[in-house]
Amino acid sequence: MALLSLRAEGRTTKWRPATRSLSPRRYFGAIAFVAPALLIYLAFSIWPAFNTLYYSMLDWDGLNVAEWVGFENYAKVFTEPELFNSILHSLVLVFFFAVLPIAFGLLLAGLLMGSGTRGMSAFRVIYFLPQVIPLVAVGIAWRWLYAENGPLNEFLETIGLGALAAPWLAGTDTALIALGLVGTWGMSGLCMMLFVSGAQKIDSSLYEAAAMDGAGPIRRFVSVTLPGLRGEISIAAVITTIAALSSFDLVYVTTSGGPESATTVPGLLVYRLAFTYERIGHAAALAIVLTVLILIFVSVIRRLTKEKA
Amino acid sequence: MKRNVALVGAIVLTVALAGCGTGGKSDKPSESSAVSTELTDKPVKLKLSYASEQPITPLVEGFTKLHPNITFDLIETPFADYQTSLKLAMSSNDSPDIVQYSPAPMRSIVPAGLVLPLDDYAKAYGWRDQVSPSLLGILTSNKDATQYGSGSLYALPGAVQMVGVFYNKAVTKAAGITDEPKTLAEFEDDLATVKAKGVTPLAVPALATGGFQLWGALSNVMADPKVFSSWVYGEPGATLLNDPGFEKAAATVKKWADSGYMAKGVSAVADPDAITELTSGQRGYFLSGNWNAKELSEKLGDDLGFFPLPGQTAGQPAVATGSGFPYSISAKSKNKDVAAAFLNYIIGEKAAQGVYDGGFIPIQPIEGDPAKVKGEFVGAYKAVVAGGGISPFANWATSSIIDPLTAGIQGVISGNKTPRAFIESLQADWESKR
Repeated sequence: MALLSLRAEGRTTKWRPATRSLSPRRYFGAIAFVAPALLIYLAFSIWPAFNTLYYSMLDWDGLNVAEWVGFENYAKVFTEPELFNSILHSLVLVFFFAVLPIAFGLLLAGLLMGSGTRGMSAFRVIYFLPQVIPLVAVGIAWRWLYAENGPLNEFLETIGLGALAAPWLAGTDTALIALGLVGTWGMSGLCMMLFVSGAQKIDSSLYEAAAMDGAGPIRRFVSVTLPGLRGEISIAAVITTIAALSSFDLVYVTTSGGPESATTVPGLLVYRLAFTYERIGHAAALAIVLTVLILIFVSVIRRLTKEKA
Repeated sequence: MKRNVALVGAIVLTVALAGCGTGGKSDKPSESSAVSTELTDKPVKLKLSYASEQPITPLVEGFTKLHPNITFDLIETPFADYQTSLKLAMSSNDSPDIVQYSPAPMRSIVPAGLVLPLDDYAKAYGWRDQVSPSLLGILTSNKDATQYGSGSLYALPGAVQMVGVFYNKAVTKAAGITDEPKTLAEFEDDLATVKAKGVTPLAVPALATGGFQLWGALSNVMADPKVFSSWVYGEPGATLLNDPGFEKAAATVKKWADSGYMAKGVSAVADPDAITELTSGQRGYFLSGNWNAKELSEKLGDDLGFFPLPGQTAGQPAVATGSGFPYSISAKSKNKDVAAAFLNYIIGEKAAQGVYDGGFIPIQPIEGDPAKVKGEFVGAYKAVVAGGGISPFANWATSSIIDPLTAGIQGVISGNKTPRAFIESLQADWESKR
């Protein structure tokens, strides 16, 4: 719902008012063309969203008579420590899903630009690969990589760092970081792709001018490439932050929120509340809070990266 | 790309929530009292919805062989989705005639009046005399489905699932262990023997249910099973706090973890990983249920052994966690008499051989081959029925208890939670639901 409009906002430049009014015939013609998409959008996005809002005011098990409880479910979201912790966990994930990948993506983009276009497509494929694999498969593969006798620990043993080896996903202090790094691995390639393609449209005369003024490669990157990538960085930050806050599948298959609730995220708890605990209203309230949280984050990111005209 | 995933996720979530209905009433069909044990000779097709392929396949095939005019329309749904879709299926106008009973969703389906109480049929067929009462406990409840073990009967089991200790004979033989343990102390000695050979003895998939099932199995032999079942069934005033056995069971899990009988990272081990650990010989023992028997015996063949977790003394009556694979009749079914005849068949002797051949434990005990693991199941089940009976699964106690159970036992294993605090958190969840 709200995400859809964000999406549109990310892509189009500016909303332009109609310059002239349409004749009635053309008006209805236009409606007819828009109607199929609009109906589907209303039925499968807008209506469920409002329905969720309605459910969030109910005490309901999904089948029997529902009871109207107003904002009681929202009060629970903010007072139950389990729910509050899950929001904190997802904020930690924002660092690993958004901040680190953008930094890596910029680094990789800078390096790839410097080396010319030789082998470029191979690098793109390699770094973009994590985006193509379904997250469920990614999760299972990483669960094995992180396992007690898994490749990561074996590698540590081989290079003589056996003392560092640990069952990464089983430790309350390592599990969330381990999960976050999976996100970093997955998102870095996406950010790099965005930045590389964005950098290609920067006017090369700017680089020449900077070079003539005596700017080295680092200075050229900071003063020319970075400002030129403002839009792409903004998009990357929005995409990755949404992925972090709404993460579910990765957590579900790797740790199920464990060990000892150290990796619970709001998406996982929405699922549990709705389908295990049968507290539909409570689940809907948490989903709404999550949506609002995502909206706030996205608005802040868009504001921070807005180009000053 | 990722944004689309998030977008689709958000839509799926809202649609899924919306799909749960429109927060209204469900029409309660009237219950007819006229029941008949006569089977029609007209052709009837029963719609049957279930989550696990076994043991339903031999049961429907066997029934159709006896009564060719009755055929089945089978709808299989993977277990996790089954739990969530059962409510929708039962409230639809096109509801199946027979559904596999699952305690979690039935908590709301029973109060909605969508499941047929089977008491009239039970009387007409004499079912309560034919099935071990410990199997019927969780299938019997009051109308609000808040208290189990008494009230109306809502389902009948077609086969038995039971938790016990699987072991890899190649591993135990290599460690010099020849006999199955007769007491818990002997089992602990065996674990130490395997450990001394350099093999971590126990596979424990504590990522999901494996951790608390180990606690449940130990509780069966260390605490009073009657206290446990009354607690799971929600009898008013039931508590785990007064019987020290439950805490002792949790302390034993901790002791085994500290002794290196299980790996350090068990909290990240999933069920499929544990199966691989046992079958590849990295572990000697795996406490699990016979729902995993097919996969385990396909990989280990005759090297797979099974015994119920032994008691503290050799003479202690055998108890094992378990349940039936139960089936219920929809209150909306138009073929209730035929469906009841099918339920009567599945608990009977005629169905037993087919269930046994499929690797499951039939309701009516039959002679099994003790050299094969399915024969060991039947033998263990007989001992349990003759002893202390089948004990219910801990996660049936409330709809939310699975999380304090899973996370709690992970805390006990890591040492972040004392056994006492674990038991207290279970009791607290239980009391919050009463």
